[in-house]
Amino acid sequence: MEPERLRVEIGATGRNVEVWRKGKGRDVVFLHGAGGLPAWTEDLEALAQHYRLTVPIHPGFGASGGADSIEAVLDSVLHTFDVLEHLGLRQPDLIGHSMGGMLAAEMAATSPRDVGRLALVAPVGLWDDAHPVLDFFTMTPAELVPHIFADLNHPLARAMAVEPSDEESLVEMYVGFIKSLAAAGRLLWPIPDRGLARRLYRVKAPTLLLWGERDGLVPPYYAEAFARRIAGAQIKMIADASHMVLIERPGPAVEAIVRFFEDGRAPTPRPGKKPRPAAKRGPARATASRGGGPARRRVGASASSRRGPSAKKSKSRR
Amino acid sequence: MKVHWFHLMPWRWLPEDFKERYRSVWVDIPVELWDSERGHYLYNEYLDELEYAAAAGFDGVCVNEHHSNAYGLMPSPNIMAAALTRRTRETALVVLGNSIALYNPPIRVAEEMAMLDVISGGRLVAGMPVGTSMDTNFAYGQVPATLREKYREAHDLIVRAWTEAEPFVFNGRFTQLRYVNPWPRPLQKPHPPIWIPGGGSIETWDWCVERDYLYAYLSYFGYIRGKKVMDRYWDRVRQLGVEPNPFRGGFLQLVCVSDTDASAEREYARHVDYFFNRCLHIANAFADAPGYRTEATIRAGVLAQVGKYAELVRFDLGWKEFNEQGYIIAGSPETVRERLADMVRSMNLGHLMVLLQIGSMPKELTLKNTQLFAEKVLPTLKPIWEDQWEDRWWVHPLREKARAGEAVAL
Repeated sequence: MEPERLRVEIGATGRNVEVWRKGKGRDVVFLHGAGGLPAWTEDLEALAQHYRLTVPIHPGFGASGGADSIEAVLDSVLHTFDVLEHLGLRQPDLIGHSMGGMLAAEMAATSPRDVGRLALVAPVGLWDDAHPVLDFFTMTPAELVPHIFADLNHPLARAMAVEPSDEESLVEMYVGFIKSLAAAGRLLWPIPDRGLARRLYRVKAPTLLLWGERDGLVPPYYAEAFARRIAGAQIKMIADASHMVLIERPGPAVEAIVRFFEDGRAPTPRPGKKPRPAAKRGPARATASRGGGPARRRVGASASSRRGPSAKKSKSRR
Repeated sequence: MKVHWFHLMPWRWLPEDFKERYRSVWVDIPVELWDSERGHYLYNEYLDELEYAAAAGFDGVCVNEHHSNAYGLMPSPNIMAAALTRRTRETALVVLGNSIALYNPPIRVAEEMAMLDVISGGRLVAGMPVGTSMDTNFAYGQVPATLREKYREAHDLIVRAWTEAEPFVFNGRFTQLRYVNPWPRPLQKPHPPIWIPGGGSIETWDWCVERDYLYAYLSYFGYIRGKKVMDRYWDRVRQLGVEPNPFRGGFLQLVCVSDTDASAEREYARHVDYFFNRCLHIANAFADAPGYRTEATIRAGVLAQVGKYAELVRFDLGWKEFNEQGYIIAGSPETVRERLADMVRSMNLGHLMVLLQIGSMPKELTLKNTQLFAEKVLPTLKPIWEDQWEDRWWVHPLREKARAGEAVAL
């Protein structure tokens, strides 16, 4: 049940990052939230059954260094693209949870052609005074539990709610937690809004907004707030789940994501096989409205196409 | 040695059940507890006290910076220092200090401190703390993980602004300016003495020694605990090969002087209790934003931090314990003299700050405490270190003759 754990060094920035990887098939990237990832959990395992799942650990979390030079959201966006490029991923689908959801949305807005589909799971990044995101920075793990778990008996909820009795474990738990939040603070302090609202219009990726109905950290109100700003976005609410929806209800959550990612797409070719031939995609068309110049490239020239085999189909879904 | 009169300027009317009804004196304390008319009275009374202390012979009077805080009513210490410039003559104005990372751009500090130094005739001490997490991260929204870097950059800009001969460009990470050229410049050269109030981190000590700044440990927990930190500071100073000149160290001590040891309790106990149990009632939520401390510091003391903050919330101590454990030095003038002299010598302390207005203490009692201290304790302390060490961390004001007076011909 364990993933492969890679170390990636980005030459240009000198950042050394930890990346988890498991599975085969379509490239999907999972971007974690402000609390970091305690372990390779059931939801990640389920996703790895369908996809080649890549989980970059963000600078400052876990064993990933390079947090000092994360000054703004753009640094995180570019860094994450650096990692994906280094690993040779092209237009992966992105799943982002909470802070990771904000990051995924920012990536999709910054470089729309470099991402496939988006699943934003209770993302932060928008702010409405009438619906404040809980100030999780001021809370201990135990205090957070009732706001992020619908089921207080979930093993992870129980683990978070009880302080370890031996000093060494207590120190490790607190230090790990504080370190993660310190890194998250670079992007989210003092309120988790870095202006994403101004940029969401650029997102062209088919986008799913997935939320636990009982999310006590990031109000489900924001599902609509995101959906309004992303053309064609879909919302899926999961019952009996709070902010940790992926861990609480991995079955329905992962199923919703997989269904969304696969809807209307051909399955990815198995490694070693070429993508389907161009002819099936219909006549070449002029590229999108840029004042009517000649097509810059032919749709169907598969070697150079950046959108992949299902480009035409996914365009028509918007 | 030098002895300074330190004011926090607390709100004196927090209710008896404050600890039970409200989670914190700092950050989200409801403004329903503030009253502007009372505030008018309070600020003016507190300035009276500072002026009284100046006249009574203390070497310096100290003001400081707090935000959204009912135990410290000076979001702008410079405003208070300005109010004192024209009502004091010889006394140093110890601004301890400006939380420089909170001033945007930091040249504001360079400018205001230069004004204070010039108007006062060169009597400013320029304190520059990093600032507490409550003030910087919660009240002023600074990102915890980058606060210390921002502070260092602000410090560098301020010192350059004071000392560079021509307008310069500053291309910092947090501040970018094309023409740095403050008018006025400070009177003292190269600039007012810089004092760094800090916690117990080695990085701060190393930096203070490297820059030849005074390091001040401003804790409210008194000298018995404080000595442990100061001892490690002096160890580090020696390790760095620098002479342990007591005048490069500062410390804060709560003091209550009365006619007798017994009358001290009668007069002061409830105000001391108010201070520790209401003034220092700070929610754990705000005590330490993630990233405010380095990982090394957290590892060194995470349990201590949790324990410490548990302590902040829950002072079960009474007058006797506060006194015995050194949180306060209280008693007759003889008692206070002896304990302070011992404290100062054992801590190798050159700059002592005393807190004589404590918690809910009203003006009359504060002035009495101040007068007794000035007449009966101060004279014993002043000569300590005088023959042995030079105070290189002190003000160099204009000679009396050169000062602005009632009629000045230039």
